[in-house]
Amino acid sequence: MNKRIYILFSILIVVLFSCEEPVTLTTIESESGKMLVECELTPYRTAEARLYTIGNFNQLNGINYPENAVLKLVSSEDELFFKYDKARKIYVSEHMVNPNYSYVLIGYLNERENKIKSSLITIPAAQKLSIPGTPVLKKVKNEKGLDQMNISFSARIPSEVNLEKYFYRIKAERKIFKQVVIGGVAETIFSGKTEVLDFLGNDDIPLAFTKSEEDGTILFDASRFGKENIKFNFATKSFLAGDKLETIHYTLETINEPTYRYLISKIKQGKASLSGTTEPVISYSNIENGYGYLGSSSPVSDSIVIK
Amino acid sequence: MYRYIYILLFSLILVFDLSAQSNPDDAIISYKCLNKPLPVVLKELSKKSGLNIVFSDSKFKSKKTVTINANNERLGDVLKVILEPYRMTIEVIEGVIVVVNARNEEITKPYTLYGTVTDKATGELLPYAAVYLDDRSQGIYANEKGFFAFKLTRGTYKIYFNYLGYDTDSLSFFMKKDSMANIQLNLTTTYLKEVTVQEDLSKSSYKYGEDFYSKEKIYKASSLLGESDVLRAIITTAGVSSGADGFGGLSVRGGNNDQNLVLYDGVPVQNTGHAFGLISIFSSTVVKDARLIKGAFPARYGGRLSSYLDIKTKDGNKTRFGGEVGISTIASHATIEGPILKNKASFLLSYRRTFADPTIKSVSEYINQTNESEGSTGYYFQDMNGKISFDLNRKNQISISYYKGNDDFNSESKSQKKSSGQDYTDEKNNEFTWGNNLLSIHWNSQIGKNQYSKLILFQSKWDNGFFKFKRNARDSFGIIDDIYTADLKHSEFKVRGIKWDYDLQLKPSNMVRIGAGLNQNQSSIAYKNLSNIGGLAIYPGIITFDTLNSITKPYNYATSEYYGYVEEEISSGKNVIFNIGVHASVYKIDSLYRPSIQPRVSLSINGDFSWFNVAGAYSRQYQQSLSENGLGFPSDLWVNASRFIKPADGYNFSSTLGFLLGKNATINFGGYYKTMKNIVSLGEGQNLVIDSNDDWQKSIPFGNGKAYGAELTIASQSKVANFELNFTYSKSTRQFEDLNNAKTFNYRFDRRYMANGNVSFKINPKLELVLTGTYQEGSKVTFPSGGIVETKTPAGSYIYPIYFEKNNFTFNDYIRLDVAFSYVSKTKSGSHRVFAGIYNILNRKNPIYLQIERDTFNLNSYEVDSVSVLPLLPAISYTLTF
Repeated sequence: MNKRIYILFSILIVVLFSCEEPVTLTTIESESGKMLVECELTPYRTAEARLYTIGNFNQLNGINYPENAVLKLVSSEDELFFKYDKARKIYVSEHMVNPNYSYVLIGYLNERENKIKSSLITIPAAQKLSIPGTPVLKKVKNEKGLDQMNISFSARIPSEVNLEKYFYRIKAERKIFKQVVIGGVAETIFSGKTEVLDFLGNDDIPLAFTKSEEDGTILFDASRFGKENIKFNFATKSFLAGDKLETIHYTLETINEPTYRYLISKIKQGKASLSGTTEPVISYSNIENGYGYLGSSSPVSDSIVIK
Repeated sequence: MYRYIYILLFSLILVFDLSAQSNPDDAIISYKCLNKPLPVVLKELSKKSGLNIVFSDSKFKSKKTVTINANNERLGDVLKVILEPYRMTIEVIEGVIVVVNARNEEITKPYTLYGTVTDKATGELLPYAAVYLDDRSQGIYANEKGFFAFKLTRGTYKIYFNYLGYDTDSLSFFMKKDSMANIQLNLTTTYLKEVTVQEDLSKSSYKYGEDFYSKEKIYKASSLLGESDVLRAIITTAGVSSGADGFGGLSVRGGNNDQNLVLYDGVPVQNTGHAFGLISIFSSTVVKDARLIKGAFPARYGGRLSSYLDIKTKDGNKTRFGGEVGISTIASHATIEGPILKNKASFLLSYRRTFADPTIKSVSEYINQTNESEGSTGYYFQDMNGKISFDLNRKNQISISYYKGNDDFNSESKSQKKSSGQDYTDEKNNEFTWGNNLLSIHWNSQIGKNQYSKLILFQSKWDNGFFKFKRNARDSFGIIDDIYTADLKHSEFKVRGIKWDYDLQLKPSNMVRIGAGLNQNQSSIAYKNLSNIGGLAIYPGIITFDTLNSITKPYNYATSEYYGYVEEEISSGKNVIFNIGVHASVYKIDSLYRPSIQPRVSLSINGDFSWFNVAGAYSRQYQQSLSENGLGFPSDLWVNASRFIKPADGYNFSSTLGFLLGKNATINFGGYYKTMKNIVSLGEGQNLVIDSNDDWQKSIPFGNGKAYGAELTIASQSKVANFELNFTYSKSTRQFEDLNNAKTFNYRFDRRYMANGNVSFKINPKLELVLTGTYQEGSKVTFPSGGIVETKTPAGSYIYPIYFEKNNFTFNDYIRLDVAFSYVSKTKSGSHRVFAGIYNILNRKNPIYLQIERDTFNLNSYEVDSVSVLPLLPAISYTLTF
């Protein structure tokens, strides 16, 4: 008798660790097949949009690229229709974006289905960096033991003229120089190559910056620094003998919040792994009945001369 | 010469003799009367003693009467006792006793009644015993070591001493000088026998915004597999939430589970769970009682934002040897205690261990074989407690406490299957170990009559090691698709500290507490993840614990926290208590100092039938945990504030309004509002690697939290049945700039409605039925809304889930009903307690978490399982106390 009781209880204990019940969650089915659109508006350029339909989480059949969807940008003054470019698998607007208009993106696969509709967005004004001091250069050894040049400078964004909160995207580049001997004389000449400077982060507010590994651009939220200057730390990949740093060329884009949020979540998603110590990446969307974003950006290019 | 000596001696004798003759109030008399007017009593005393007592009738217009029973007492004392209510006293003038008006200072001069309250049977000190006047106009609590100092003016008093689970005792006396009283209370009950008077303490606890858990209450709480548990008692409290079945630690009033400071005999405990949190590390055999402060933090507490849980262990029996042995469905335990020096020093030793590991192994092997795989699961936990207590003298005690406990879980499985000519291999290997090691030395000292000092030296060490390996491989006609992930997590968190508390009862209406302390923290944490998903194959094939450990260097750091506090409790009249204080701390890491001033304030207004309390506190927390799922698993990583990790700050406001309903029932309404700033979380999508440099700290996001809610508690106690019902409405949200697209989201344990009920019926003196019911709105989890194929990996297409909102999915409501019978009988061999019950009698599958795994046969698809751990479970336990 005692033995039976012992066995019974032992089995119950094992049951403790193996009581898993499959469930079907209705939220999965309702989301599949919806349209996902990515579109960013830049003043005086045609708009480009990528369109997908998302799959079912449990029974995925692969991603779809609908070719016959209707997409249009609607403003109070205008309607911009898109055409599908088969070669690039993207939709391109027929006319340019007017920076003075506010836009809504509307799209559908066919008339009977729910239309997707973005939130109303504006086009931000372009802004330059204001750099009060001079950049500080420091030559250091990189992980491979090669010389590299670290560049630090503080900057601030001039007071924003718009009431809406904007974010920024920056990409810094430089020309690579090399040493050649001409007629027995060593000279430094432009190698014909440029490089995107590597962003080394910001220790004051590390998470204010997010780097895109794909193209080296840096997204940042200037408002996190308040009235303080923002410290930028860049580095060259290498800095060989004869190389020199004269000018840093940068492109600063003022981007709206949907662009910032969407791109940040996409960058995180690209790095994400299903395992490990992590929180799931929350995607951003400002599209009703679908997913994706309608964003806007205004670029400006400038350079910083190293004295 | 001798002549002078004789003269001197004679003179002295004469003086003494004359002196004796000149003090008529020293005469010894016996006298008793019942409700007689004072003039009559004075005349009778004059007549009985043969001495003149001069008084004026006109001074005694009051209709008060005198009742006294004096037996061989000093006449002067008898007269002072009966005259005291009239604010009069006596003077001896020219050998005549004259009744005069008492001087004001004589009436108002405070005296101190001080001493300790102990268990009569074991000599154990009873913390927080209630001490109050018979008319309840004044009352205090003994401190955590059972010491009390009660300031009273000259007069006659009757004082009651009450402690939950013990018979109330009283002491009648005339207060004319500082006096000491060591009170010994008798235990009223065996475990489930009801105590008749409990409301004093429980009601008063509510008044101060505290919840008290006696040993009885802990035994009555739902026990899992027969293991009664202090944390299971606590999660039935209004405002306290947890994961399903106790998983997930405690969320107190919407706070994170790392925001609760759990003190075990004064030592901070980093993780409180055996079996991933199902059972607490606190063996109920050893726990004396617990106190949860979830709102009005007095200044003496610091270091956490949401609550303080103070768990005390028993001292050993100082008068006789005894012990307890018991067995439950899952574990067995043994405790022995007794005197080292009778009434002076005692010891207590306790050990508990699960015993089912061989069976778990063999049954898991069988289950694996049934599923066409091989491997087994092993698990056990054990803990031991030891305590030695010395009474150096009547005013000084020293005790040494030790706790060590650990869990060990390992699971291996490997399955190989064929389908459509392809070979599939699934491998899993998990090795988890964790444990606490606590040591403390306490010196409690009573200084004078109204001062008390406590000094504690302690060390708390928490370490864990988690290794997970998962591999899915497919051999498709020689083309091998091999996907694996491996995680190694290891942390060691050591705190060494010293703390000194000093209590001073300045006057009856004024208590001052001051204290200071130092905590030195040493941490070593490491986290490494390897995966070849996305084509990043670094170590092909099977990864072992050693492979990963050899390439992982831990991050080591040391920090110090200096703190001090001042707290003053001021009583005004008999009903108003005002507590104000400040807790200050300075935190140091490397050369960085972070100071903090934390004000605390509370006001209590206590009537005989109603009470009200309002409190506010600002707190700072220097240690936080990074949790993968918010479940409070032992795998959570504790991190210290640093250059990059900010300390968390919080404001906490709460209020309680309570009423006494009839003689034995109380109703309490409460509300709270709290804010949390700079709380940490894991980042979205980050593949966190913690190694010897501090870069990992830069990726920790910070955010804010907000919680508010309302609570209702109704409790009733009678000789036959007791019940307690709790209802909670709450909302708890978080907002991180770097999570959920900066949008506010619901906290993991944001449960809008919760209700708990506990009812016990005494069927006969030995048998009791206990019903426990729990309803909680489902907890939140982040669930994907869809999937997208990523086609860039060399291994082929890979789907990743897309999430559009954090904690967007609400689990089904958690509903559970437990039924248990408790039978207690006493024989010559000791007290026998049999507990038999059914946990989750509705057999409801209450989900704990969602598990997302790749489909073995379709690597591009995922299976989603809702995991519930505890179905209907019968439980039985037997305990013999001798």
